[in-house]
Amino acid sequence: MSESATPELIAKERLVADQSASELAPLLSVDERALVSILATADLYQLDAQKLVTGFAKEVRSVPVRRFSSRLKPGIDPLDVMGDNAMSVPCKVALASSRASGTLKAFYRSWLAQTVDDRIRWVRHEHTNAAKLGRLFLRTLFSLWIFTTILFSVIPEHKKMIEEFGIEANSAFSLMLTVGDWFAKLFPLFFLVLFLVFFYLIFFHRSLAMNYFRRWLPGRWRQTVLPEPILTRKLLAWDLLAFRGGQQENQHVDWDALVKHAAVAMPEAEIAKKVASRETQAWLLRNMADQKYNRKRDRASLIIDIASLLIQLAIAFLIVLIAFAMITMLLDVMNGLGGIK
Amino acid sequence: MTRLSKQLTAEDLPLGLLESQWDALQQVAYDVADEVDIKSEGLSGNLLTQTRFVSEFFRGGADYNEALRQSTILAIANPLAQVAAQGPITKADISTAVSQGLCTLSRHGITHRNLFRIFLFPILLTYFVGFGVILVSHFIVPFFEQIYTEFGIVVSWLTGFFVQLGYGIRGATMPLLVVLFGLPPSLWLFGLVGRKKRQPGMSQLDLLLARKRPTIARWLLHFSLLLEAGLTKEEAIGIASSSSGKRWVSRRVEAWKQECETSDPDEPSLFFDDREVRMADTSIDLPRSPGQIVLLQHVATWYRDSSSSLIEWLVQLLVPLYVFLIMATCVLFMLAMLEPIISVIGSLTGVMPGGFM
Repeated sequence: MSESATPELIAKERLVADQSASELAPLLSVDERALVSILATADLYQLDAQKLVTGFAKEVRSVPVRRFSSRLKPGIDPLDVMGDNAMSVPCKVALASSRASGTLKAFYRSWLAQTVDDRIRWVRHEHTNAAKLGRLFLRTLFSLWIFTTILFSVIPEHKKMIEEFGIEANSAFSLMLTVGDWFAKLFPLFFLVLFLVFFYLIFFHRSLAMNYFRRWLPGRWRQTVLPEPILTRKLLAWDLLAFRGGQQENQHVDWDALVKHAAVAMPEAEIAKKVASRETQAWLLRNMADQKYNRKRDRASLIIDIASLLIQLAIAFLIVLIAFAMITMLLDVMNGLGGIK
Repeated sequence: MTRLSKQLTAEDLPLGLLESQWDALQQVAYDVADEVDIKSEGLSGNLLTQTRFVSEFFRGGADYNEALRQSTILAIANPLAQVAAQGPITKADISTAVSQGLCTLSRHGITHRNLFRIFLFPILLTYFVGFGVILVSHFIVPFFEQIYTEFGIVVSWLTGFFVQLGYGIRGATMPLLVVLFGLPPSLWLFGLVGRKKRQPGMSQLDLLLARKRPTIARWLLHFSLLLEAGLTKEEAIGIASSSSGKRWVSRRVEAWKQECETSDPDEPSLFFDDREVRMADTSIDLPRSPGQIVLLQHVATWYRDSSSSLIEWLVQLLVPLYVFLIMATCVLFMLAMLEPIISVIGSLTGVMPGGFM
């Protein structure tokens, strides 16, 4: 970028570099991200790239990276001697295209200064609500299988035995038979509900379904899909930050208009209005968006937890009921055989 | 554009920078705390805990030596010191410096969930199991034992084992109750030990279970911030190691000093001297420069991202196994208790109650 570049041009270059850096990061493994950081630091701060990459290669014990480090010499661009396997294809493409467009330094700067919200959404699949729902679904199916087995193989045998011995079923065993009858009647309905929930998640709650299926995408860390209102706030925050050095510095932000167009909520606008600094406004907007997202996620998490607890309590009740009914029934049989009352 | 927006140069890392500017920082301490409070709006988790700690520190006298021990404080104080070195600190400078510090913490600081909270579910589960076992040993096992005695049933070794176990638990009920009721206050007291020395957001359990890689990640971040504050390499290594909370790191300092005295000056001895963290040694050995600081922080992030979630993952794996173990023991217990009764019914009638056997 030449000295005469206008603030708008600088801002646009930053925008492109920020975007490619944040798009590339989730596609790379942890080690690959570290290698890009090392190359970026070496390039921007004139450090000895060979020494750094050699240290990295010794630690990760990767033959392609070791070969790459041995080819590095002063005055040689690392991207020219990288080889085929030192980095994955998306990384090589991103670096090569940045260099071809003359924005490699801007890309490296963006890479090293990735913003809070770029990193904070790299959540592990196990911590998402989608994963919680998946676990709940599997647990429910497992419990259903056990109860179906008990319902169709154990209970009829005991019922037959009671009839053979001519013993009157006690209240616990009668209750178990009633619950068993209801279970058998509601069995198809239960499957219908499960199918409807699945149908709803796939067709009407795409972000949840997408988050679940992301687990099979390459890489350990995935970015979650942010809802539209959250993205709007984050982009607004980015605009406030990106143009802080330009002509728009003194331009008034019409928070009331933003509230009117539902870009931000009234409480958020009230908080932002109280702050004079544009940077702090951007910071607040971004973090309030995060908080809004977290609140929504926590609420969904609480609903799943409550549903999970209710299902577990129902299972616990059935286990206790079956155990108690079996024991009392066996004792009744023994008492009947021994003539003890 | 504020004075902090420019790129750092070698002249921006003078020795003793933070110490020389500390008085200027103390004069604006309340403004810094206010700005941190404003920016805490909307934060959550570890970062919120850290911002609260920073706010309390600046409101509570802002001691220089305490600041050196806490990387959280240094992350905010360093950019402020750089501004103070160029002239009076304005509110805009404070705003930018606080943003910069919080970005450093969120990029390179600790991000794991507090391990105590992760262990809370297994601990609660153990509580329920503990009380359940005591109740079963006092009410269920004697009931079955009475039936066996009344009918003169000879029990199998498995049933006998559970009956004996019931005896043992009945005899040890008081110590068990003391442990169960004493555990929560003990855990609370355990959490208070060394609280001021730990980084905000870290529990005692986090520190105890922290393995080599995440420990070195925290150490590297602290070391880089100490260098940025204007300390020499030796001073920074000493303070970062003593604040790490790990004895092996403190012991390593002594060994490294001895090695430095005896080794060849052309081949400086490596601080960690470990193949698995070679990059840490490579970045520590670089000449003092802003580039070294940036590299140290990115190596810290690399180490943190590649290891910090392992214990969390293990707990998540162990909890289902633990639940499965409890369920399997319950089923085994029920079968062991019912087996003599079912055998008697079978021997008397010639028919085994269906479904189970």
